[in-house]
Amino acid sequence: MPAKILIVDDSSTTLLMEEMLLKKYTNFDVVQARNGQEAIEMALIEQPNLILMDVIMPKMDGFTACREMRKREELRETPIVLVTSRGEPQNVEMGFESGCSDYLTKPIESQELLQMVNGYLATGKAH
Amino acid sequence: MNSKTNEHLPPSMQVDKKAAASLADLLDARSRQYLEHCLKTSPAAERHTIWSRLYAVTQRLRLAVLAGGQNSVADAVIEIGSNMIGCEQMAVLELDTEYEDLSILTSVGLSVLQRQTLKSQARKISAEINRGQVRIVDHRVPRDEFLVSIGVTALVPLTQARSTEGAIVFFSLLPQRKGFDSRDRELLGLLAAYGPSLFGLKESAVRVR
Repeated sequence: MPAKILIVDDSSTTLLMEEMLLKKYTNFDVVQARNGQEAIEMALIEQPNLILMDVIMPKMDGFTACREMRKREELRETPIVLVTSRGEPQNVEMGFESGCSDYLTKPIESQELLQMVNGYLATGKAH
Repeated sequence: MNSKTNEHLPPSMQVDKKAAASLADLLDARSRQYLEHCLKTSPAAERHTIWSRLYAVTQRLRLAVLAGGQNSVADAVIEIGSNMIGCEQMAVLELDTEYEDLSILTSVGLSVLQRQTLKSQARKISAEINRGQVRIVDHRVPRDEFLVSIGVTALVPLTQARSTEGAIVFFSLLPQRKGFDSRDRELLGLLAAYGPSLFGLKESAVRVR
């Protein structure tokens, strides 16, 4: 069964780019959510092998969603990469404090995203 | 992202569905071309990122057109600026017919001072927009002196049939961006090419009574 990636963003443009890259250049299944709350619900149902998540989103931001996911036994070990336009050091620090595994800044670069995903899913970092 | 402000987009406008469908088809065809280019290019190449972004942007604009009218397009442009360019201080401006005044159609993240400047310097800004060229502002270039002085980093004129009707104006980029680069130039060019048609959807609009 192919690995599954959950992409979370309130930006349709970002979702379109991520989905295209992941579908065309990996064999992984892709599921989507539009905010942190939806991401938690989706993650519990879909049990993704990797989560790519924006930070600034309506309803629930990425930091909060990340913290909430880490409280759940089922999601404690799931790699979470925060993909965000907020690349300032204090935001990166907040991301790691919230329990994320990695941090990627927007605008997204094709190679950078694919390397990050393949790094997690090909080296056994994902469960 | 900062909250956006739609200044005076009439909510009760119904877009000409035929014109919108035709524009959506055009964007879809363009998008598929970008995807083809993308698939012929190694992801390691810089061009791959450019094609990927152009693909996503044209698809996003297509969805905005299908969703209906100026408000959707304005939202899409702001979202593209934030996510694909890394700019969270921008505005879509509309010039009046005499090019002596301008109004802010939609904006995101502008300070009070930036808004005041857009109004108080309307005539000079309009003149810059009216040059009709996509501009990435360079502080070393004398002709960019005025735009540098008001904090504008890039300018996308919305020109249709030789008439400049407005512009997308970019201010500060996010800290991780050192400045606009060649990858942004093509994206700005795309907005310049389709912007007038996208925002021009109001011209064929019918007011809902």
